[in-house]
Amino acid sequence: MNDIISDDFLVTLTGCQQILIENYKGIKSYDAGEICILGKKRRLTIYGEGLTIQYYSYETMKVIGTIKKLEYESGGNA
Amino acid sequence: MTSGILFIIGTYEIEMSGVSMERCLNLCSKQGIVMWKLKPVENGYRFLIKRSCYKDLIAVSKKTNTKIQTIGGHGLPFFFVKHKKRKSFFLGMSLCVLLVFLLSQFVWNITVTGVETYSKETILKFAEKEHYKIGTYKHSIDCNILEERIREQFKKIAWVSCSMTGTRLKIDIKETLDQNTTQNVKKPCDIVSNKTGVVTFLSIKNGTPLVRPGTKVKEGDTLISGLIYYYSDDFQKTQTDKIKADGTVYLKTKELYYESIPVVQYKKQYINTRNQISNIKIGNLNISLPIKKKIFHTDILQKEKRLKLWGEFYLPASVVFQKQKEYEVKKETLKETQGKNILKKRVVKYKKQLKEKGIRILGEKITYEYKKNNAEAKGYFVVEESVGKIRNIHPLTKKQEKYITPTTAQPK
Repeated sequence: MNDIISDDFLVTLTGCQQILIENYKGIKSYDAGEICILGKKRRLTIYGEGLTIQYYSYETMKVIGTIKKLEYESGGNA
Repeated sequence: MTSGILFIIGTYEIEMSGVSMERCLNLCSKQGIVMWKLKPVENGYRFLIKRSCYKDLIAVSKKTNTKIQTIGGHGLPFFFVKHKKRKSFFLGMSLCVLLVFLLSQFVWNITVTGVETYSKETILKFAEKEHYKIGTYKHSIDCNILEERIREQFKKIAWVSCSMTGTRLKIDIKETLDQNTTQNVKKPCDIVSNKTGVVTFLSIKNGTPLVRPGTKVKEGDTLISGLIYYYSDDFQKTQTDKIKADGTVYLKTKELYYESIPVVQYKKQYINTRNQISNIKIGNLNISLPIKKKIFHTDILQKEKRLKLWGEFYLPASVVFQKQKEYEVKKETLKETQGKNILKKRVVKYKKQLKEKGIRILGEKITYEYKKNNAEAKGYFVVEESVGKIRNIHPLTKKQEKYITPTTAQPK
C-alpha cells in the first residue's frame, strides 16, 4: 500500500544477479554498465556489468546481470 | 517456462535506432507492447516482441521518428513457414508419435518372476487362458482378478502380485510368506500351511491363531484364521467379523534330499564360437534369416531380445540372437573319491540355497554311495522355515472353535 501512496519505486533484489522494479515511469538511459530509470519523485540508477533487461512492460521490468550499485537521486520525471 | 511460451507463440527480433529511442521504448510499454531480452547494441537497442504487437510498434516508431529493422523471426510459426514444403515430413512425424502412443496402450511383454515349483510357461499359459496375453488392451486388465485366479489355480503359490508398468505386465510370485512379504490381498483371508511339520514360532499381526508352538500341522491346515469372534461376559458368542489374517509362522520340517551323477562322464571342450541373428519377430510374424549350418557337435544358445523405446515401453518386435559353440567330446570315468567330492560340493551348494531363502538348517543326515553306474547322495535335512499361504476364509470346525481363547472385546 505504501508504495502506491508514496509514488515510489518497488524494488525486489535477488542477490546481485537480478532486480525486479515496479512503479516507475520509464527508462532515461540504458547501456551494458548503467541503467537510469525515472520514477515519479526520484531517479534510480543501476550500475553493474552485462546488464540486460529481461523484460520491460508498463507495470514491471526485470534486469539481470552483475549488479554492483543502486543510486537514488531526487528529481524524477526529467 | 517463459521461453517456452515465447517459442510457441512466435516473436520478432527488432533492432531500433534513431534519436529518441528511450522515448519510443517508454511509449511502447505504455501501449501494452512488452519487450523481451532488451539489450543495447552498437547503433541502438535490440529486443523481442510478440508477433501480434508488430503493427503497434511500427505506429509508435513513426510517431517518435525512430527506425525499426526486423532482424528475424523466432518460434514455432516461423519454423512451420520455413518448412512448409516439408509437410509430408511433419505428417510422418505426427503419425509416428500417434502410432507410438497407440502401441503403448497394449501389453507387449509379460514377465513372471519368483517361480520354483511351477515353470514360467505354465503361469504364462494360464494367464493367456484368462485372456491376459500379448496384445491385450492395457486398461482391460484387472490385476486383482488375475492374482486371485492364480492363487486359486496353483496351490503351492503363497503370494502373488500383478502390476502393469508401461507396456509390461509383471507377475511376481512367492512360494512362501516371509517377513519381507507385504500382503496385497483386498479381501478377508486365512493363512494356511503349505508344508507338514511342527510349529516352532508364531507371531500374529491380525487374525485368530489356531496353532501354538509345538503343534503338529499338515499341509492345508489353517494356521491363522481371518475370523474374529466377539464374546459377552458369560463367554457367549455375540458377533463374528472377517479380516485379512497376517502373521509369521515357522515350522520344523524334514526336507528330503537325493542327488545322483553318472560314473562315466562326457565332457565338452569348446573349440569355436559363432554369433549371428537367426530370427526377427514382429507380432506373430516370424522372419527367419539365412544362417550358417552347424557342424555335428555344436551347442546352440538362443536369446530373444525384445525391442523397447525406453524404460518399460516395449514394442511388439524382437530379435533372436543365436550362439553356436562347436566342441569335442572327451570320455572320463569318475573314481570313488572324485564322485563323492562332486556330490559333497552339490550338498554344500544346496545348503547355501536353503540359507539364502531364509531356511535354517537344524540337522542333516546324508549318506554317499558309489555304485557301478552312478554315485548317489541321499538323506534328509531337518529345517526350520517360514510357511503360510493365503486362502479364502473357511468356517472353523467345532474343535477349532473350542480351541480359540474367548475374548471380551466389544465390537466397534
